[in-house]
Amino acid sequence: MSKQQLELIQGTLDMLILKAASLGPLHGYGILLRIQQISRDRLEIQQGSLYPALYRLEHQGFIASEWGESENNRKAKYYTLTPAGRRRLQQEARHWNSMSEVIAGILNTAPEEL
Amino acid sequence: MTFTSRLRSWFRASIQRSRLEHDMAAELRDHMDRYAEDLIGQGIAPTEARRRARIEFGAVEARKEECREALGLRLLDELRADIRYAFRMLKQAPAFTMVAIVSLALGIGANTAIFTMMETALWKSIPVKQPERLRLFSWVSGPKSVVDSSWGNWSESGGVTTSTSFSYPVYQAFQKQKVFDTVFAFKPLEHLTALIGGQAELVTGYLISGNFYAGVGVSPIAGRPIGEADDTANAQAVAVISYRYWNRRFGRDAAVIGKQITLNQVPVTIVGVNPPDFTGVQPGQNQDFFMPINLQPVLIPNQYSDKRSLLNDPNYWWVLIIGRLRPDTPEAKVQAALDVALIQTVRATLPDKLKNDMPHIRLTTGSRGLDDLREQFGKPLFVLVALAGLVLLIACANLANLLLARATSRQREISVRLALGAGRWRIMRQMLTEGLVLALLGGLAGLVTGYWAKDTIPGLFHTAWQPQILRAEFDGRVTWISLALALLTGILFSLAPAWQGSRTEVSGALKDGSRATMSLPKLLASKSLVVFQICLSVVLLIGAGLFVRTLMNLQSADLGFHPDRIVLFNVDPPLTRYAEERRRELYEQLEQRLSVLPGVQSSTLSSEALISNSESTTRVAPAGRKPGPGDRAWINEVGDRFFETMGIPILYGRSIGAQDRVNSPKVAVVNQAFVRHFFPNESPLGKTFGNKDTFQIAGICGDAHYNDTRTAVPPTFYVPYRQRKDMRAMTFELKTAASEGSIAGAVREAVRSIDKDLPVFDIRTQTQQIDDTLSREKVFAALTAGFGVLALLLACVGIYGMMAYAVARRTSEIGLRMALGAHSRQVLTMILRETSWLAGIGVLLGVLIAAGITRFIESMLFGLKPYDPLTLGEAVLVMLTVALLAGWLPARRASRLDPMTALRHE
Repeated sequence: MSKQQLELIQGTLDMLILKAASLGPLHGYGILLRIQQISRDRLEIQQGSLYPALYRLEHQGFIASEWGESENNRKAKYYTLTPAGRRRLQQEARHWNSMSEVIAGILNTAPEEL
Repeated sequence: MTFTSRLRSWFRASIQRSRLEHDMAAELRDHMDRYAEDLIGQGIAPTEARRRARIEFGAVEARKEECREALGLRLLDELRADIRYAFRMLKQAPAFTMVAIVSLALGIGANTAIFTMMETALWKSIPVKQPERLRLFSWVSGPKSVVDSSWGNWSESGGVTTSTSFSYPVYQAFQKQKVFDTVFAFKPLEHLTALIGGQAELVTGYLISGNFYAGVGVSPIAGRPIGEADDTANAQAVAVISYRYWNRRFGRDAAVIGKQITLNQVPVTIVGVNPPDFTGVQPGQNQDFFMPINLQPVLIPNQYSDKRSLLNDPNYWWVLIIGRLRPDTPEAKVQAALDVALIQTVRATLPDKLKNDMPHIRLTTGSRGLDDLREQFGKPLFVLVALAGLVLLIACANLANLLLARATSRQREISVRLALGAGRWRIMRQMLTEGLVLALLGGLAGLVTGYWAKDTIPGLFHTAWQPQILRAEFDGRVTWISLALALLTGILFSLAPAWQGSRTEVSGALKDGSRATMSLPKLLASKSLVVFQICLSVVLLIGAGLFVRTLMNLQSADLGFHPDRIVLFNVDPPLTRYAEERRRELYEQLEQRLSVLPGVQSSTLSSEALISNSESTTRVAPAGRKPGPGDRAWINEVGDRFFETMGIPILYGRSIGAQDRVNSPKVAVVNQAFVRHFFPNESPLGKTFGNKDTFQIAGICGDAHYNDTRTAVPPTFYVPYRQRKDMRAMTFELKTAASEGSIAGAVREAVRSIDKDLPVFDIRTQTQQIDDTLSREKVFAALTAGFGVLALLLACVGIYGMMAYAVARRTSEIGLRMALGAHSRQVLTMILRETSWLAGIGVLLGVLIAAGITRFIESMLFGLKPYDPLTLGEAVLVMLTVALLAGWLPARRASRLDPMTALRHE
């Protein structure tokens, strides 16, 4: 993995998992790969921490899991987004976007603007 | 939405736990395998790849734990571990566990036994369809009610008259109101003479309206119910019998359907058998025969009314009514409609009563039908359950104390756990779990105890010469309440130790190790618990003393007559066979036949048996004035030789005897109380008194108790039964030379020789009769004495445990004192003084509390005040003695310590 990795902001892993799962059913490792692929390896994710997050999201009903066949006849547990999860993702994305907008606005404020 | 999914997920995870674990392990392994493969694909050696995969994944077990926590399984896992640990701890201390479980079993068991009685007497619905929709009718009116004659419950207090009895025309008017699903009528009959296969016996029954079975929603298990068609004037007489009677009398023979029997001389065909659990609409009763109400004129012709039939008599109020509410009609509307109907009917049928106070309808809950048990047992059971609750509280304090002592000796273990990172809440939770496990075990043992003891209370209330009908109910409700009580107890007694455990200092206890110091708060807590126990025990002992003395006072009360060697029995000749003249002839024949039985010294008869809680009163006044409101006298219609047989002295004039013929002048013998009330300043002999009938006073007898031993002897007059127009059922009294057992057969034989179809019933001795009226007092004396002993025992264990523990902790201090020259006697006194202090404070508090609450039971006492000094003194003495005895053993052990051993002790 690349050396220029960012540490994940607390609480965003759930959102990223939901986003990854929204692109199609994936097993845990696949979700990890997809997040890294989309972020072009710029995020550092503790591999093990993925699973408690997956179990929590499933417990809350945002994703559903099912055992299925993967390539070359191996079994794997696939996660898919549920309708509730889709709503949750939209809501979190909205929240994130407005939040980053506000913070960016604050950070970009020049002294003369006050 | 996420709540339900969480719940579903939690349940799935908890139930399919092993599968979850397996899947989780497979999933994580799969992840590492895939990563390792990818690394190998990048050209890394397989062993190195697998090593890196493991390292980068992190601690697998910790992740799994986090996953479980995410599923909400952690609490469950910890609970399971706590429970397992609790059981291990209990197994390690078998003596403690035994003491704890036994004291809980006794405490919970006592409560459970009373709950089973409460279930029967207060809670359980009658076994009908949807009992909560039933309403029992009653009416209230001012003091001048429109009702002249009634048969049934009747109460007058504070200018308000209440009754559940209605006239049949009023019932018919209610039926025309379409505000109920059904409105049905019934009337319990106590004494019916059944003649089945040539054998006569006394049975009980109900007269019921034709819609009764539809109203209660019960179907017979054999045959058919009584329907509207059966309840008409000219229908064939039919009856449905109870399961119990079917079993007892017919041995559950299916051929009983269609069988013809005779009830009060009326041929009746049995058409059905009730289901086993349907015993009628009165809790605690089990009537044998259910018959259409239209049979009344032939079955129990009315001797008090001019007409034999009560069905068209608006003056006589006797029918009981229950209605089944319609789901759509509000109760207020129902009540209003019934009120209108009642007043209209009264106006139409009792035109001469228009100026009286009009009755108004009251609907009361009918889920327990016509409920006499609640009134009879309500208050006694409340007092008993309060006392049993005290016993449980004492057991609770005991356990709290024992657990507290254990928590202190476990301080080291707890410190280790705290040092290893356990939270205080976690420690507290574990202590609570241990308490609850103990409570549940004790609760289960208590349930077994309660089940085993459930027949005790009904047994104590049971009338010796009658079959026992009242049964304690041990059902789901009783079980759940008992277990809930056990859990509550568990929380209560583990609170103190849990609090104590959670406050343990990590460093202190670890450093000190075995030399754990006695912290002052701990000692205070444990001492207060002992004081609390002693205090409650004293309250119980005082209660027990009061009830035992009440029973003793009642049993030794002067009755005014001699009850020894008197045998009583009853006959109730059916009016259908014995009316007026024939009834008198029958009684005279019986009186004569019985007097010549071998072993009978003297025999007589009376309309009321003495001390049987049954009375008949009438308003009278000396001739020449009208009876005022207080001019009530008690009347007993008696045979010749009544005073001689019962041993009531004739003080002036003469007794009632053979010279008082049917047509001779009407005479009476009056007692001293009667003279004091009606003839205070004159010689009453030869004077006349009365109201409608007048009686001339022929003699004055000593005061003898009439219906009970508790109340003062009422003004009573005795009249010859022969001179009464409407003779009633009679009780015969025989003074015997021998035991009553041998006389019973001779009595039956004698009655049979006069009429073989006349049943003799309720053969008992006068002493049994008196005892029966004291059943409540006996129950209280027995149970409170039992509770008192139990409380003493528990307090004893508590004091002993506390002092033994204190002595053990102070071993080195005592050793030091002795090494410095203290005598063993001084040590003994020192320890005993501590016990005395605790006992003294506890006793003082107990007496104060008792002084505050015993006035609630004042009405249940007899012959003593709630603050009876003798009872108080006894209770205090017993408690102090027992406390000192319990403290003596540890004190003696302390005084015999060898100073050298004691000093090396730690």
